[in-house]
Amino acid sequence: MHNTSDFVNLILSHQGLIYKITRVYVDDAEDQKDLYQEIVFQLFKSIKNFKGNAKISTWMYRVAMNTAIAYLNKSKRQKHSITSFELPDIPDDTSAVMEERSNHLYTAIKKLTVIERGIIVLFLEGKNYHEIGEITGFSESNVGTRMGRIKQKLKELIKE
Amino acid sequence: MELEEMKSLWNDMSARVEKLEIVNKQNIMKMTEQKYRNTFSKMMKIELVGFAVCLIFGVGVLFNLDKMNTWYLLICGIVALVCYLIIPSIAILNIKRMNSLKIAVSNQKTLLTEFAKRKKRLLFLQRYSGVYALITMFVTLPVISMISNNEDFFLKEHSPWLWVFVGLLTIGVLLFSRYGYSWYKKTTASAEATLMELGD
Repeated sequence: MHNTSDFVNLILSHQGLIYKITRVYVDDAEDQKDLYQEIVFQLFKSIKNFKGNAKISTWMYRVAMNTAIAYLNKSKRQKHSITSFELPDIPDDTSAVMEERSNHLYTAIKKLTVIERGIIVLFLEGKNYHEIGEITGFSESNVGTRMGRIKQKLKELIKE
Repeated sequence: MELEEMKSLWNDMSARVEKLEIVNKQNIMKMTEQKYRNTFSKMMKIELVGFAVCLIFGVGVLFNLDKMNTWYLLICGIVALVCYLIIPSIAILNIKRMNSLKIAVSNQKTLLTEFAKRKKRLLFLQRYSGVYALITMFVTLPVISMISNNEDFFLKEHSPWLWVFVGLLTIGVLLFSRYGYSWYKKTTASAEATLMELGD
């Protein structure tokens, strides 16, 4: 894919994926917006290196998560968001109890380490251990071990 | 909360996210264009700080120009004013021109040609920044001497340490200018690379 309009369509069809990654990695809305743009730009820069060996979504998750981790590691961040762009809130069409539980889940996920956050998001997105391994670079068995620890940690965090 | 419940909450949230219109075509292209503009924001900040310092000195010289009572001191004062006010203004204007390239509305060939023209102008001024800095330093010495002590620098005898200090300062200024020029070259090269990616 070397065409700008193909790239735009790719982002449009996977905009939710990027949104979810930004939501679990950063806290405030301004950072979320900034990270969203950074991910779009990194995808844009690296799309020409995508050889089609994996699913496009697998590749997008990998770029998005690496960008998010690099973003968190930057000690001094300069925000350069475009002004005409605002990330919307997720519409609240569920009950108050459900909403509270969702927020509780997000808060718990954010308490995990950056690597663990990535793994659990992929797991919740329905990826199997093999796919998670492909995206994160860990072996399947390593993902399994980590998942065990993450489940335990989450249970304790959610109980708190 | 069990893992299955987490999954179901996540799926519910995902379904709601899918309904959102988060970005549109214009936003996506603007996000990538913004990267080009970011390249020059640090450059602009540095130049603005430098300009603010120069402006203070420039205003100081301007209000004391009447103290320059010989033709050569007056020339030093005028040259100092040019160095403090005109050259930094041109530098800022050049960066502003780099930043204002109309990426979205130009075709790639026009864009790169225009970029090359503006880059040449920007780097031309920077290439000789060491020379301007040295001229500024040498004209500032007699001007400051006149303003602060009412003494003609050229008629006064100076301690040898002053010349040692001036020598060291000259080396420092030249090294700093060289570093600045290579940083400008690197930054413009990075902006050019971004611009080329935008047009692929």
